[in-house]
Amino acid sequence: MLAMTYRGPYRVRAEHKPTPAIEHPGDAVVRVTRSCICGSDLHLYHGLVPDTRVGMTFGHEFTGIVEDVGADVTHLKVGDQVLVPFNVFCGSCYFCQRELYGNCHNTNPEATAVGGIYGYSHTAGGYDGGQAQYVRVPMADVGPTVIPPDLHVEDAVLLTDALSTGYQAAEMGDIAEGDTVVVFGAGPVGIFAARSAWLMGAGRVIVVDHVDYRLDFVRRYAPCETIDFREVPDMALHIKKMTDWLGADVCIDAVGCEASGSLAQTFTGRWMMLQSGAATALHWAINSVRKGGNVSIVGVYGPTFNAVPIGNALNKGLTLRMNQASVKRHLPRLIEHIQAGRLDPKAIITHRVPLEEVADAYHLFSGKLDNCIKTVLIPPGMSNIPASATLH
Amino acid sequence: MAQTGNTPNSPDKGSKQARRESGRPAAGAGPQDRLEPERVPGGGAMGSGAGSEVGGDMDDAAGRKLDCEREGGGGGDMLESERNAASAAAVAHGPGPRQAAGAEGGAARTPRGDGNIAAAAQGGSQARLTASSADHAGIPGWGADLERSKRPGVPMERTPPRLPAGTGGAVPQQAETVEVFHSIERPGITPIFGSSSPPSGLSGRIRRTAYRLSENDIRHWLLLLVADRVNVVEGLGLGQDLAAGKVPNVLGEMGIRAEWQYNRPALLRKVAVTGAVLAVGWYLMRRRRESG
Repeated sequence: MLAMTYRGPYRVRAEHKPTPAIEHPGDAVVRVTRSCICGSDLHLYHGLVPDTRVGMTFGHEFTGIVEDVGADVTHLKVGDQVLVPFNVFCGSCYFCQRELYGNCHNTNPEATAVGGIYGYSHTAGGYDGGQAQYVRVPMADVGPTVIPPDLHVEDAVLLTDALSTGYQAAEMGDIAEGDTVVVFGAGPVGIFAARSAWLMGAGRVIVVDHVDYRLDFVRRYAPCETIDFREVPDMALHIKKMTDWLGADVCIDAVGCEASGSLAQTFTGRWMMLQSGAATALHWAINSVRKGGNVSIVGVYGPTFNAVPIGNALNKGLTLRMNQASVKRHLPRLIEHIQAGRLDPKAIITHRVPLEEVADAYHLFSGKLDNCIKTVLIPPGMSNIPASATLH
Repeated sequence: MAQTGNTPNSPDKGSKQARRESGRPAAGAGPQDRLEPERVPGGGAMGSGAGSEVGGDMDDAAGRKLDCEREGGGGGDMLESERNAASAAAVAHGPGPRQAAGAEGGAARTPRGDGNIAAAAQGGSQARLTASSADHAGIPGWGADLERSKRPGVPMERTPPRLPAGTGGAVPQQAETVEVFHSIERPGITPIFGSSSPPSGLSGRIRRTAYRLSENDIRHWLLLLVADRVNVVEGLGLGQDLAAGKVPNVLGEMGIRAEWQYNRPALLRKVAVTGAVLAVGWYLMRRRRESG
């Protein structure tokens, strides 16, 4: 089968690999119909995530058609069109029993701090991902969700991570009616976090970034106010001035470890690697939120440490909430929102690229070229997906 | 990079023939298609300079005007707190959300709308804004999840989980067909694991050492990063490509085609700078050799 493979920092290619097989009675093999390149894939692409091995296939946002199932799989059948949450989870461990599927304890032998994630290094379990023609999907009875016939496949693929993560970011902010919400980062997750903040009754939503075309987009898509941080001498001061000197009620970090905007953070975090990436957005979030406010973190950071003003968080009495999205628990509600026209995820897709051209797609997304916001990869022969109805 | 119209409803032209759709909306897209990315102004294929028809379209000039009103005469008779409230809460009636502009000119941008400073100022020094669905009539679904109990993540730890009936039992152990490391912060391997890219060569030995240390030990992570870099050399060299008689297309793997297509001036600049540096280096070395 054709699959994207990692060759080294800033180097990937499409090449042929053995087609995955059933390795566990709970497995399914899924033929991929659509997969996305996620912003967090760029951390792998840039060589920042430990234990990212040459030859690995990335991709944790994908949909597909069930091709084969293991002996224990009873809820899925061959031919089902499914969306597969990025979390690999068992459904039975201590954490899954509390719906913390992103924290599953049974799917990642290599690290206890993170659950299994498709195509996200051996630090996240060593699973090949969905930027391929086929992918192994463990625990097929609990992870995948059959795509409703009226749901567009491009909406479905964005439910697997970006939309769910953006929604959970807003949810973890515990937004109350009329709250002022500041979202740091106008990538796909930040865009969806801003959009979700309105669903939760925010009174004001402000998105901070420095990429003009993304700010333009989110301003109309969310819709919201935007701040180009290059035009602001001091972010926290600026937010205070915008909020009657109190600070925002909720700040969301949707950037993570490759943030721009602070020379000190960039130098120590990205250039010298003295910390787990540049925590600029988190720094700003803590300092921009009001006393007693909430900071929600969905931006990805490395496993070591970061320099953030934790003392300010203490003195301000902040609530910090963060997690990998527990995608499965959000799906029913988010599908309702899409079906009701309250959310339109696929509108953020800017590029649809054949899997064969994955190297160019990564470079395009990484370099923010051609006004790229979200890239979807299409495996060979999958330009035209059979209708769900014919498969059931 | 080839371009395609790949939608589920389009004829299957084969993925090689597929063409990337830059900012083109999906076929069968929903009622919010008006928000399609191609309408983003200022962006090449995405419709350079094309203004949006969306109600919440941003207008720099309007935004600056709002700023001026607040910072100038508009705030002259207000208390400072009122000015800040006005600055923070210019209420927009109609299709857009409640609008506000930045305190510093041009930094915060407001969508075009009926920004009404006076209406906001009537809120006086009330800094915390009182929202209502009427204020946000232009935002689809505003407040749909206002009630916390409707939010799927509330409470954070919810048990029993809402999973298909019959799931959640004991998980059989996956057979270990390749070498799989496990964190020493757990008693053994997990019932399920990935079997991609098993450890090999020198990088594998370094990883083996790393996994003798706990996740709490920074050396664990640093060793893994070192192993990753060694693995890259192995992948490029004797380990894989060259040993297989294959010369990797490194520039292609780095997306040179996309760079050429979308970032040509920068690429040419990089080539020129690199060429100049190499030429100077070669010249200096040659001079040294000749003088020596």
